[in-house]
Formats: sequence, C-alpha cells, structure tokens
Amino acid sequence: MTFELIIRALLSGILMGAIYGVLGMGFTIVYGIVDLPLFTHGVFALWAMYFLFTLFKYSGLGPYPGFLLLFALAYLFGILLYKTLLRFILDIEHEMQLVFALGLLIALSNLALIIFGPTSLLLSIHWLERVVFLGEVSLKTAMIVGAGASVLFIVCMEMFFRKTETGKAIRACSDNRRGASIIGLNVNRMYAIAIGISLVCSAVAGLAFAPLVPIYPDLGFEYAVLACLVAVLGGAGDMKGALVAGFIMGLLLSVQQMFYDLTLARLTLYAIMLGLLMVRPTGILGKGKSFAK
Amino acid sequence: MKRAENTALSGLIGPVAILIVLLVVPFLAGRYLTQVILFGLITAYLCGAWNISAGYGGLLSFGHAAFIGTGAYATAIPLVYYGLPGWLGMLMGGAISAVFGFGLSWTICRFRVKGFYFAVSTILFAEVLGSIATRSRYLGRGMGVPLPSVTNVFTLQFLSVIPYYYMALLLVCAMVLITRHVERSRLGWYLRATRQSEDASSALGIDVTMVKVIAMTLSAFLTGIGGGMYVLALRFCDPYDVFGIMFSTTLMLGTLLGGRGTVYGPIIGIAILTAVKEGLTFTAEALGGMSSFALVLMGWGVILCLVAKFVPNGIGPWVWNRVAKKTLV
Repeated sequence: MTFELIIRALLSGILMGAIYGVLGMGFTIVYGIVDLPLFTHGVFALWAMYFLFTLFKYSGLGPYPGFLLLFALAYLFGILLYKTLLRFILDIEHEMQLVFALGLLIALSNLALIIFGPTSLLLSIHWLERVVFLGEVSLKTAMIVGAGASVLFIVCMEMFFRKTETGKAIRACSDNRRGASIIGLNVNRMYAIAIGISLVCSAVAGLAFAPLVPIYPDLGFEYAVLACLVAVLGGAGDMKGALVAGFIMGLLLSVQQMFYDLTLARLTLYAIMLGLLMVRPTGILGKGKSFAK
Repeated sequence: MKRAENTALSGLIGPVAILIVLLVVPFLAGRYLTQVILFGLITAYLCGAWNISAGYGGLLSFGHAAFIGTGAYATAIPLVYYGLPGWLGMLMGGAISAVFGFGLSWTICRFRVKGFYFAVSTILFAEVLGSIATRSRYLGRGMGVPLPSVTNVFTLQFLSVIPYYYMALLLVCAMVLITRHVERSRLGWYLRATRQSEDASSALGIDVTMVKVIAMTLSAFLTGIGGGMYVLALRFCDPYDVFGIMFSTTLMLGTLLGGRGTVYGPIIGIAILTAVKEGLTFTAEALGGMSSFALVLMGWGVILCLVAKFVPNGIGPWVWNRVAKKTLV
C-alpha cells in the first residue's frame, strides 16, 4: 500500500465526491422544495451523458458551447417536465408518487436502451484525457474539471437560493405552499424553475461523469440510487448537506476500492446506508426532512 | 340477505370457469403459449404474495426481489450441488426469506421508517443481496446457476413445461385461497385498519408493529417459495434476474394494475401485463431490430406512471365500481 496510492484514493474520493454531491443535489432540490420523492435524477444524468456523446460525435461543436447547450436544454426540459407531468402528481398519495417516480425511471432508462443500444459508449475529449501529476500521484484532468464544475455549480446554487429574489421565493413556496400563493407567488412557476434547476444539476453530474466512465443504460438506475443515498445522507432538502454527503460517499467508495473491488465497495456502501436510513433519516447535518408522511 | 348469498356464490363462477379453461390450456395450446401462461401464473402468484404485505398491509416494498432471489438460490444451489429435491428447496427458500422478511420489517417498524425511506431501504436490501450473489463464487458469481436438464419427479425436475404448468396453477389457486382467508381473518381486518390509519388502529389496541411484521413475514415466505418455483421452471438462476429491480417492479406493477388489496387483482393485473408484453414483443419484432425487451420495459414504466396517477387502486376495483353501480342501482 504505497503512499501515492493512498493519496490518490483520497484525492479522487474527494473529487468524485463533489460530483456525487451535485448529483444528489438535484434530488435534494426536488424532494426538499417541491416535496416530490422523484428519485429519477440518475436517469437524467444518464441522458445528459448520452446527449454529450452524440453532440461531440456528430457535430463539430466545441466542448464549451456544447456544455451550455446541455444546460439550457436541461433547464427547459425540467420546466416542460413539471408543466406536463409533475404538476399533476403533486397531490396524489405519497406511495403513488414513489411508484410514479419508479415508472418514470424505468421508462426513461429503457428509452435510452432502445435508442442508444446496450453497448457501452466512451466519450473522449482530447484535452480531458490528459493526466495531471502532483508529485508522483496521477489524476485525470477530467476528474478535476468535473469536480471543479460541480463545486462551482453548487456554490452558485447556494447563492441563488440565498440571495436572489427568485431563489427566496422558491424557498418560500417550499416552506408553505398555500401561504406563498396567498401572498401572490406563482407557486407553479416557482416549482417549475426549481425542477429546471434540479435537472441542470443532473446535467452537470452527467457532464462530469461522461469522460470518466463507459456510458450504458443501467447507469441510470445506479446513479438514481446514488443520488438518493447522497440526498438521504446529507438530509433530503439540504444542499450543503448534499455536498458533504457526496464527499463522504466519494471517500468511502474510493478508499474501499483500494482494498477490494467496486462491487464489494458498493455493497458495503449500500449496507451502511441501509443501517443509516433506519437510524437517522434526517441526515448527517440533521437538517433534512424527517420521516415522510 | 338472499342477495348477499347470491353474490357470494355467483362470485365464484367466474374464477372457477377461468380455472377450468386454464386446466386444459396445455392440451390445446402450443408449447410457446403454455410457457407464456406458465410464467404468467408464477408471476401472478408472486404478485399475490406481494399483495399481502403491500395491498393489504400498505407496506409497498420496492425490493421484493430480495425474497425471490433468496428462494431461488435456496432452491437452486442445494439442488445442483447436493441433489436436494426442488420442493424441499422451495420450502427452505420460503423459510429463509421469511427470516429476512421478519428482520427487515421488524427493523423498519422499530425505527419507524416510512414512505420514501422505506422504499429506498427495500431497494437497497435487494441490491445488497443481489451483490452478494453476484460476488460469491459458491453462488455462481455473475454467471448464475444453471439447473440440470433431467427428469426426476422426486426432485421436481422435468424437461417439459407441462408439470411445471400445473404446479404453477396449483400455487396460484393456493394463493387465491390464502388471500381470501387472510382478507376475512382477524389479521386481514387489522391490516386494513393499520393501512388506513396507524394512529387510530393503535388507539384501538391493535399492535401495529406485530401486524406489519406478520404480514411482511408471510409475504416473504410465500415469495420465497415462488422464487424457488421460478428457477425450477426456468432451469436457470440468474442473480441479475431474480434479485433485479425489474422483478420487483413486475410484482408491483401487476398488483397495482389489477387492484391492490383485492383477491383477484394480482391475477387480473398479470393477465393484462402478459397480453401487453406479448403484444409489444410482436410489435418490436415487426418493426425490425428493436429490442423487444427494452420496449416492453419502457411500456411498463409508462403503465406504472399511468396507474400511479389515474388508477392507484387498480383496474379491478375501478371496473367493479362501474359494474356494481349499474347492477345495484
């Protein structure tokens, strides 16, 4: 167990953790603000990955315009999703909301399977392939960029929800839906914006993951579970918590991977989470929503 | 009073007629159709098992595949390695699943894990068990465990599908009877009360925890047996299949579509789903090259969404309400 390996595991754990954090944040926003346990977000990340792949393969569009296009589309799709679908399941029973989320997850996963096929796709962007050396520790540029983008995005989101009028309005709607609409806030519009933002979160996560892993449809489910876990660990609805939780999970997975393989690492993670769900559902920082209705 | 008697007995005519039809299917239909109905029956049985904890008890577990897989492996491994008879394996699988079900539900009730957290817990539970099966060399790793193709009545191994067909039919009939019995028993009333309002129920003196645990344990036991049946009929035990989210989802979909908390709901639901599945498979093949598997699953995702929003209590009760309104008013 060389020193470099340990440092590398820790560093990549933290970097990946940032990406997990932003993935979880998407779900946290929806569950915390709109109160929908929509654990579909992993699939949205997957679609972001496929989108990027198709974009870079078939068009000459450079990376940066491509990313911006992705974000814009993700946001618009989120708004559309809310107005056409999610708006109508706000008031059905909680269990059925979960069932709906599962149905959406499965439908979108398999749509991806139909369109893109079961074989893994690899996204390669030249300047991201390079490896950075810190002393003797090697890290992929892609990981650093992805993590950087994630952290940047999360910070922007915190600012948005804290400082801007719209952000505060959205938080008001989440605290008290009826009260907010009484004072004149257009709750539907606020929710739509929130969902749009959460989809951009997924897009950022997808963007960060895309150069790092082979892209295949089952990732949708995997990331969905991951997003859930990050959100629950961090406390559903708490954005800072999501980031912290992301780091913790990233580190856990990374360190374990050093000793044994990914499957066992994931298994242990799930087992730990299972235990945690039982004992402290409000999450690490204790600010999350407690037991659902 | 007379009217009620009429309904009770005449209520059996439909199912009995269908039973008679199902009894003769293997002789009239080809191998493929018999096989389709065979697995439909097994799935209907499994839905019925899920129905007990979810439909009646309100414990919608998203990871019942955990019990299917347990039953499957408990049947397959001893059979392949030690020649343990299939039926014994099924019972053993049921028993082990029951223990898991008991542990899971007791922990959940003890810590009052509800709603979303409950759903995620059950998904994780299935994933953990599935990962164990995928990693363990003893359990065949990711390749699964093929069951030998021999004919041995004693161990319930057959080459033809027909014996399995009748076993599955037997299981479904048993499930119907069990569900009816539970529904009318004291446990059934307790379950319904708990599902509607836990607080009111415990105020009335019902031990809510005990009720839920019993329901889940029973459900797990029955599901485990079904898992064993499944691998016997399929002659293959694939961890991604028996522990997979899709199997859990199928159970949910069948029961919710047909009518949760009803006796025949799961069967109706699976009947519809099987028809949809075959129809979509046909369409996918007609359209050439499209993965029928993916199209079917996508269809089910869509159906799940539609059911959640529009008929959360299932098509069975929905139709029944319409029919009852017309005949009684």
